Amino acid sequence: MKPSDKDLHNIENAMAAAYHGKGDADLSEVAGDMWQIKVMSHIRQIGPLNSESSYLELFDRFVWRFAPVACILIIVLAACLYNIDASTEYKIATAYVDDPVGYAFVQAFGI
Amino acid sequence: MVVMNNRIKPDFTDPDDIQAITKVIKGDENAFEYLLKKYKHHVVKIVHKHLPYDQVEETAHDVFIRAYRSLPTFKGKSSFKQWLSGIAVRTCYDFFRKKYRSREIPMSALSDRPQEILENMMSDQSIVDFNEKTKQKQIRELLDWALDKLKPKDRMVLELIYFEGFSGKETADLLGLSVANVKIRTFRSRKKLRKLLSGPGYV
Repeated sequence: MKPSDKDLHNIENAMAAAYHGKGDADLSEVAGDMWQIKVMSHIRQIGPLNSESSYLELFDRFVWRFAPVACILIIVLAACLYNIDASTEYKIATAYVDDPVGYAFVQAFGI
Repeated sequence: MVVMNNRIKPDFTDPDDIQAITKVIKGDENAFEYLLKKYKHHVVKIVHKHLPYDQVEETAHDVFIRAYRSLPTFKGKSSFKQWLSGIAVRTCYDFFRKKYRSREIPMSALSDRPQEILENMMSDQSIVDFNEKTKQKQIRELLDWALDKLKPKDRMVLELIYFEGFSGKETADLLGLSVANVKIRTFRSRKKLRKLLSGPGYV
């Protein structure tokens, strides 16, 4: 049987009530002293924040701040490369590869 | 105003908290115990709202480790409690992300149970009165089943906005999304939830 809109509305309301009801559960036994000791020993294992924080801050300050600039630069360079007419350089390179002696001769006399 | 680590701090945060935070940042990791003791129940409450009971302690542990590591980035724009709540919500979201990635494809027989609960609910004349414990448990089971079907981001958005009453902006800040994205996700996830509730057998 497919529920009607009214049924769905009621089910949703009931779900919201159940969701909030979960928050009233007794959690006094969760996160006791033993748990606290475990967390603190983990933190002591990580060690003091001095050195770690300075590296993190440097990373945060410089690398990520330059990321958008780097992206824009890459896009601009890609656009420039796409628009540059490389046919002249290609012809010179082909002439050099095809006839390296003649090319050197022409170059030597500046013709 | 309180000056800490060369930054000016607005006094939203409890002065005792600021003192402890300053000590931790300067390298005294034992000072973190004060913050842990003070806010553990707050964090446990948030985590328990989103995750199953057996995952609460482990996730709360992760929340405090994350908070400890990120403490130097705490700028004091909001209170420490609010900042920590954000970390707790994001840790729950990460839990769902991991779970979603490694989920197994459910066998069709498993969808019989939500179908049964739905049919029980609809056949019950006193559908509006859902205060009894057994009913609550069944509804919670149905809710968990339906939420598990959603993508982690959609799930968190739905829980925060629809069940917890956070605003779009608050949710967007907590999950690192745009407000427009939160609105779209709320609409989409609510629609999917309704579709799921229309009958698990039809999905």
